[in-house]
Amino acid sequence: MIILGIESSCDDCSASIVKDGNQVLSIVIAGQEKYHRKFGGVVPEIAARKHLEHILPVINHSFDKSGCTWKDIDGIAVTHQPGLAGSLIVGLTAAKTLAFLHKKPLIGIHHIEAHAFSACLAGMRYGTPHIALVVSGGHTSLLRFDSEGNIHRIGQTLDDAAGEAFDKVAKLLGYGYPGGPIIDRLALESPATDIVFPRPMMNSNDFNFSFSGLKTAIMYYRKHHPHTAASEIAAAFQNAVIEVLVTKTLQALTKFNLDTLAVVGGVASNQGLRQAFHQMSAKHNLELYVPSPKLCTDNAAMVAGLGYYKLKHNKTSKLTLGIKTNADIKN
Amino acid sequence: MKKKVIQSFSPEQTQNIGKICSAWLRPGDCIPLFGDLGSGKTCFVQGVAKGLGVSDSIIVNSPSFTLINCYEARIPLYHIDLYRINSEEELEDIELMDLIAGHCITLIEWPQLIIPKLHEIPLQIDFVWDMTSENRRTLVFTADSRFNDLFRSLTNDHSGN
Ligand SMILES: Nc1ncnc2c1ncn2[C@@H]1O[C@H](COP(=O)(O)OP(=O)(O)OP(=O)(O)O)[C@@H](O)[C@H]1O
Ligand SMILES: [Mg+2]
Repeated sequence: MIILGIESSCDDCSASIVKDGNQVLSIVIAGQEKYHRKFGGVVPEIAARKHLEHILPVINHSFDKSGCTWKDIDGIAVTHQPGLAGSLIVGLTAAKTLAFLHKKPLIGIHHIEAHAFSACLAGMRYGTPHIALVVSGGHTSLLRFDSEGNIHRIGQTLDDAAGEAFDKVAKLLGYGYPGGPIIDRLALESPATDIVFPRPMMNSNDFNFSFSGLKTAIMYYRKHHPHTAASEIAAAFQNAVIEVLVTKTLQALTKFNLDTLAVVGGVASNQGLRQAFHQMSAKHNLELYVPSPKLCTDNAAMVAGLGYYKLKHNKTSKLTLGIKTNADIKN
Repeated sequence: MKKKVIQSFSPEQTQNIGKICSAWLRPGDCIPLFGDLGSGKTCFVQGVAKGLGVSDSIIVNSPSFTLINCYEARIPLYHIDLYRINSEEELEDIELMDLIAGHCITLIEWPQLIIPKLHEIPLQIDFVWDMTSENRRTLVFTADSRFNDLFRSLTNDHSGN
């Protein structure tokens, strides 16, 4: 079965065609490649209007790259929650219209579940009980997948997300956006550092995180040590974040007696983090799945892949499917 | 407009100040929270949420990436953060003004761009961290007479309760 996936929940707009849940035939992310855009002019960097401009060209390009036509497509999977209203609505409306037009089943997808699924694009068998660490600009969560396929959130950040901490610290150190890759590079370049920033909540006996204190620890340190190189501070910061993430993830695996781990989301493309998780997994004999950097950031391949399994289990959506946004009540 | 300056010496105190403030907020209030990174805005909102009765099991975290989070409470609470919004055009694009509703309380971090669009600002708070000490923050309240009672109840002794 071949699924078209559409993802536009936040800043990125993407379409992808995936066969049998794990063969990515094409993946297109707006702005990352050249393709024909129908409309000109300046558009905002964030959200809705940009998506409106990109969505159809991105979908068309995903067909071109895959060599598929509409008659090859068995279903359309689309992220419909959570996210920004204006952004979600663009992707969902396109998906619903195309599903109606081409008489294909529609499959509504939860963005976080899709991120976790991206481990299956890196070789994990769908349905494997495991722990997933979802780390991105907006999320830092530990999820437990049980043998029935149910998802339990066992921990999350109490304040700033890990990716948010990377961006804010990069800004504090005088670097641009996005901060993740910049800090990663600085940390790689910097020799070993003696600076030790706090490891927030590392031994809190739960699976929650807190990163807002790191941001202030670094501001304070910088104010009082103005001559320390930014790269050294970046390295010390990255060490702190990684150690907390690795330690708490290991605690979760131990507590739930699991030996399979997925590390997903935009921050999972951080080289230092990948390395640390590989070392930890080798040491503790764990099976680790980390998607390639392109599949770590928001993308539609994870949506299409998950859509395949939903369709296989007849979990399709009606054409009346609506969005659930960040402005909906948190629970 | 009157001013009131209050010091906080811990995150708990800042949350407690938020909790005290929550009692004086009304549906429709849109409160800008000014201040640099790490000055305690989100920490304050956590206290307001607690004061409004947001359940303890609900985590109030930073909306810098999600831009907006919403909480069910005695009066529904919108927590907005425009840190990532760089221009008026981007602000228009996310259609926030449609969300700022009469039945909710809206607290806004990094509010500079939205200020010209607000009809009235009954209360604003400036969070200041001069970095002479790690945990001291100065909160400067600017408000109309509706908040006289709040100003009376905000004392440095009470902030530690
Ligand atoms: N007196 C205090 N009041 C508030 N926060 C404090 C205080 N002392 C220390 N802190 C710490 O400072 C940090 C404040 O971070 P917070 O995320 O609330 O700031 P913010 O103003 O929302 O920053 P941002 O602009 O990144 O959103 C927290 O880690 C908190 O524990
Ligand atoms: Mg904040």
